[in-house]
Amino acid sequence: MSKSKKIPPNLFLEGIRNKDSLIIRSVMKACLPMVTNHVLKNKGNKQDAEDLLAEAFMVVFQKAKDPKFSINYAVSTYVFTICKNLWLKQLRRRKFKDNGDLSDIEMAILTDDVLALMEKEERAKLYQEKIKMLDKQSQYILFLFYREKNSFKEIAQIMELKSPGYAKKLKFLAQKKLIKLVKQDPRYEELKS
Amino acid sequence: MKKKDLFLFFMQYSQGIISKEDKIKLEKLLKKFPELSEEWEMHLELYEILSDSDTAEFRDWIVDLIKNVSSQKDFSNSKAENQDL
Repeated sequence: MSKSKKIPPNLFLEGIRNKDSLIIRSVMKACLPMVTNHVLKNKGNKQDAEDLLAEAFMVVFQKAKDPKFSINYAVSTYVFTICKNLWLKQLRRRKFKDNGDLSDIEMAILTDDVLALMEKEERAKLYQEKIKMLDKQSQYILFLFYREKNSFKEIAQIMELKSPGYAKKLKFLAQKKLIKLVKQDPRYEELKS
Repeated sequence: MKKKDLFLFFMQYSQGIISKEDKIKLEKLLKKFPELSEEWEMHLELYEILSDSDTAEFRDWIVDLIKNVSSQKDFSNSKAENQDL
């Protein structure tokens, strides 16, 4: 696919649903420079831009689960607007003065459900970040329990623990540590309100 | 003790095996100790986030793809491409 070829919104949504890397990469190549330029001009860095773009794609991924969902704007406008709004929120949280209001098109894109998904994604990202801060054993037990849906008996076998009861205790402690880490992060309170 | 009860209820709840009686007990517990509501909400949220494999896999995939696209070009010094995409 040519880089300059315009991707219709329905094709983009199909690409998201089917994890089509060709389509998604093409959209990323168009959006990443826009997002990076915007973030660099507004007190952020390259990593912030990449994180924002990932969050925006996650919002579209959640929206695309609804087969009736459609995008009535250019794909790059849609994705960039989500990034722009996410960045505005982050700047406000970091107590920076934000620079400017959103245009009418941008306001139209940011419907209540999109805003709610953005908040949900920010909270999910916070949990994911904190999971990575846990020790390997805690990460593994949470992975086996939640992602792989293993029973405590199975977890005890996989991790060579003395009993399912002990696996249950370890999982409880891992979860407790995770919740403590999330609660300690100042973003937790901000994302709650 | 309260937190232990909450965790026990949560385990049953997340496995879909909570009895009607325990569900009522849970509701009473949350009503009696509002401070536990936040803990309960966090358990639910954590469960929703961690058990949603599709979303987690998609997130990992997207993050890798962005890193890959970003490493191919230094976007910080380039003008936006394909703005009409």
